[in-house]
Amino acid sequence: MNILIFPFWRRLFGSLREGWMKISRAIGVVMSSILLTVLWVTVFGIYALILKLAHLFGAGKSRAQSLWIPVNPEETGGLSNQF
Amino acid sequence: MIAKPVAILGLSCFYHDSAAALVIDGKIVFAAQEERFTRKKHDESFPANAVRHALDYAGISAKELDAVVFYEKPLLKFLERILQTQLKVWPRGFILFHRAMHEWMGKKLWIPQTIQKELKYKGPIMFTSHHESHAASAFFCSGFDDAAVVTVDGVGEWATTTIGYGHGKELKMLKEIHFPDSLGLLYSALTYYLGFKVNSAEYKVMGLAPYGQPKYLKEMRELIELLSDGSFALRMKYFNYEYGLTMTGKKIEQLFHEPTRRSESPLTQFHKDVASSLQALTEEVMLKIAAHARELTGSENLCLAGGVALNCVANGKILKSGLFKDMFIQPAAGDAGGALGAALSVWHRKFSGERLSRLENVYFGPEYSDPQIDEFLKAEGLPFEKLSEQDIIEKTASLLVGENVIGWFQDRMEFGPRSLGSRSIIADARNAANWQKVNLKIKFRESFRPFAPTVLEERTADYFDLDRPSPYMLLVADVHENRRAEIPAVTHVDGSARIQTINKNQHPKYYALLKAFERRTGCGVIINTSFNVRGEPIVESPKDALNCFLNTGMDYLVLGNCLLKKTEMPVERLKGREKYLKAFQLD
Repeated sequence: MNILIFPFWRRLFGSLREGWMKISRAIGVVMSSILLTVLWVTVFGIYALILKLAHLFGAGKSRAQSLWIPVNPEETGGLSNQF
Repeated sequence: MIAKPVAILGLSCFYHDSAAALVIDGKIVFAAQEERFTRKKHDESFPANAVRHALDYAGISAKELDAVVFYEKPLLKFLERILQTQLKVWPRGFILFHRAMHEWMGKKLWIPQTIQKELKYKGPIMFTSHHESHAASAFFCSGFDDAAVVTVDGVGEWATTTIGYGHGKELKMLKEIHFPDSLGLLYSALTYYLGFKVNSAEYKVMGLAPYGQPKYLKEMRELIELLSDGSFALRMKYFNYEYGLTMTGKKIEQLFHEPTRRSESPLTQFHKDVASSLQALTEEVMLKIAAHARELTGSENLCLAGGVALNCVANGKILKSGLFKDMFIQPAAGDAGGALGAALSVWHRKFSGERLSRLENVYFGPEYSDPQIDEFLKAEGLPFEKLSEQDIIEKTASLLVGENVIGWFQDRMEFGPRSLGSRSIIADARNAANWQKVNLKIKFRESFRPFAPTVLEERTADYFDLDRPSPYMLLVADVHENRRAEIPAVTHVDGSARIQTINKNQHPKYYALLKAFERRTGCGVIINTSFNVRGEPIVESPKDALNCFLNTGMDYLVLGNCLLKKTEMPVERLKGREKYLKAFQLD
């Protein structure tokens, strides 16, 4: 008897799990969008305003004689680094 | 004791044109783009198929790799460029921010984990910088002892343009220009404005340019501030790509007094003139950069790589300028070549490996043996003729004469965006009608697009204003005026051609075919175009080749030493054209 009903439960739980994963994914998409929006407005917003006020995004670079940026070998990073 | 060979696998992926390149003891053993296997053009997914083919070809497993190297530095790109750009453009860029975060958090920040999982590999994983990968792919394949190395593309981590100097086994980056100032993105932005697909159809704009005049050069100069040393800054008010989902917006339409062209709508003289103006500006910038590289390095040799190095018209102008005695352009100049450059960079930097001699050819992909092709065709149940190697060459050459268009599938597949005689559609360049036939009935592509010639290397100077080999179709030169009427199908509207020269050592069978054609006709030139339809990656396997043959207007297919004739194909096998073409998104 147990052998006969085991595949049934497995199928049932398998379908439930599949359904749950789909719902979870949808919830995840919604939640991540909300969290990212909050992050964008608060953290990015505040930081961006500070930087704009401090004029840190280079006006006047066109007055330079050259727009080439020398490469600093010490900043290029080793082969093991992702940065 | 014999030292174990050093095997390095280079990878590029997650932006466009994923690829894998396997270098063993400094020799390029295998290299291929992932798109060829997945049949999705410019596929950016992890190159699992390319890796599997590479390891199978070399007869090794991932455990035997000494290093796996990724072609750029993801954390630098994300933590610096992506996030800083978001801060800069805030409050614009809301949707782009969301998209970027999903992509990066979901995939691009987990490169080491992805590599370990996909390859079941636990060895060292390394990262070169994006432009270093490009530079290495050019310099270390050039055979030059020293060279100025220029890389120009859309963007890597920060750099969009670099000048470096290669000497012996060392490659030093000297200067760079940073995002958002990018010649590649400028070209892509205008490609978008002209209604073509970005990161895919820039070469179409290059092909359109000769139909126009550079009437809008003044407007083009409004987009960019170009200094005498080749450095430049873009006037970003005309471009949206820092914060938007489009490349350009209203301001550029106001500048040109014309709206953005809708995709597939008719091209007018205005569009051709804009293309011509863009091309003229690009050539000017590239010439200034090359001149500065010469001044900076003092070298007589130039190496070029990065997506903009695929602009073969500009390359031809640099060559003609006489700034450099010799030039080498990496055939896989785009991001696929980054995989190769990354592997070569590690070979020299970490393993102090010896330099390669100059790259002889780029046939680094998979191949199919005669028995494999036989078995495939028998399984398909299609009639074919099996000939000896000599006979297939002679037969194909005789069929080439006149109007027949032939699919030619031989040996190892090319690495890079060009077909160079392994996976090519070929036809008689003397027949002007072949231009329209191949464009409209076989490739189903825009009628303005020209075809490129393959010429016997020893006959190059007879036909073209070119004094050196051009084995990778990366140089454009003029067809001699007295030859234009002889080869109209490969002479572009301005009298130029994008040339591939072939010699016996590069591809013996393809060379023998051209020699046989020359014996019959006296002409050493044929049309060589990529073996695909519009929107499709170049064919990789006999199956891909057969599908393309059956569903287009091709007359013959040569698979290895087997010949198939369209008129002998069963009618029911010729009815799938619509379904076949629907599988490929137009590029």
